[in-house]
Amino acid sequence: MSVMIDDRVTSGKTRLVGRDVIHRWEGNPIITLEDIPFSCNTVFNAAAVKCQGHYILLIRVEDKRGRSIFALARSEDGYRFVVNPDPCMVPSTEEPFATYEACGIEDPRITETDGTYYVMYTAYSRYGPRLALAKTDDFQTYERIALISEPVNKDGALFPRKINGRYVRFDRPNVGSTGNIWVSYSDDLINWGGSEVVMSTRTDHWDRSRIGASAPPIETEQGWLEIYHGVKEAAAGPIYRLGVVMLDLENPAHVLGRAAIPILTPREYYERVGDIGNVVFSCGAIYEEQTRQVKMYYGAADTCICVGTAKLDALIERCFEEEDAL
Amino acid sequence: MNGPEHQQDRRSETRQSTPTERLAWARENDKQTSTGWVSNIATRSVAFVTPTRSLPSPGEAIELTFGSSGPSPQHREFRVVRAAPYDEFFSVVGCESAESQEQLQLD
Repeated sequence: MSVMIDDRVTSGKTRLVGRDVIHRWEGNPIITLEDIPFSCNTVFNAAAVKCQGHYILLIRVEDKRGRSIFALARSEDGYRFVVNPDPCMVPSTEEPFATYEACGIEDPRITETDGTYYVMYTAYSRYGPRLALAKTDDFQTYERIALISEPVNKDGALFPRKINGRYVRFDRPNVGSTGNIWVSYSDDLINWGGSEVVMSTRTDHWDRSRIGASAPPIETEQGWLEIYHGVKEAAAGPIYRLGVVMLDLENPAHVLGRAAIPILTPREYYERVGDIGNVVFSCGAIYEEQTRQVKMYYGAADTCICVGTAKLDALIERCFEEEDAL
Repeated sequence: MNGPEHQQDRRSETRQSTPTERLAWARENDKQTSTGWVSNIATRSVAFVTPTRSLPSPGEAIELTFGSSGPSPQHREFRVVRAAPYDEFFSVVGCESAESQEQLQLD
């Protein structure tokens, strides 16, 4: 494998960006607190989708009270975004959602399937995090469908098509302070079951403490490509990185290949310093078929949103690399 | 200094095209900052892309902060010369350094 070291001139200075397969946009971060027109504490991460030529981000921000809410941002080029003046989705005041969203709504993932845009997100309350599902046509208004898991469960991401006639999602039930990636199945998007573990933490790797799905999976000829996050608890606190795995198209619980090293690890100032430092955390990636490029949107240091790009083939290749070759 | 000689001087400036460099800008005596990305920069002038809805007007004094998301931001005063549409959401703002305008008056 060739080592990717990227020398670029930015701000008149040469920077060594690192060995990540994801290429950081030089204009990062793309959304910071200054870009949010309404008053809030911080910016976390974003779901991403391309709709009618426009790039759409559903951004998780923390309001002044300390609850997470969602805001809408739009772009023509996928790099420069304008955020709408008001939040587009806030914790519900109607039951049964109100009880379980009392502490906020978090980490949205958008998936288009059957011509509808579904948002799977975490409803957070005193009872812990659990998954919820909403749908939208215009990204301005959201219709809640159901609470779709018990606590403690998060990192839900809906697959873009049914498999063997059933809807499929990733989820991450927690066991103490650790968690692994699971799949669950549903006939109606409301009642879920048939759960089984997809993959677990690796005690001798960067994803040793807990893992969870990040972006909704991308369908490729080789299988489902999933960008996931992994956490390593270090002496100075957790380090959140992003990795890739390839799953069987007809049985997504079957791992075909899993990258040994991350595709993105915190290196830049905006990834190192913030509300929670040393965090890169993605909730959305857009595959551009024409260029075979993946634009991955990620939260950095729980303080801003960034974008990075990679060729789809490079990500696929990374899934099947021999560990000895790295 | 505003004649052809000055224009020649401006044309000979070394220009650096860094369309992805992020900056923040604020109106004079305004704490509210907006985001922009440098599309062209020279010694005494800058063009940057910024959301159309918060566009500064020609003649307006603004402060640009370069490296706004890094550990050592740099602030400079500018005056807006013109603004033009960039795409559906953004416009390009051209501005000249306030320091250079003071220098021109002294010359």
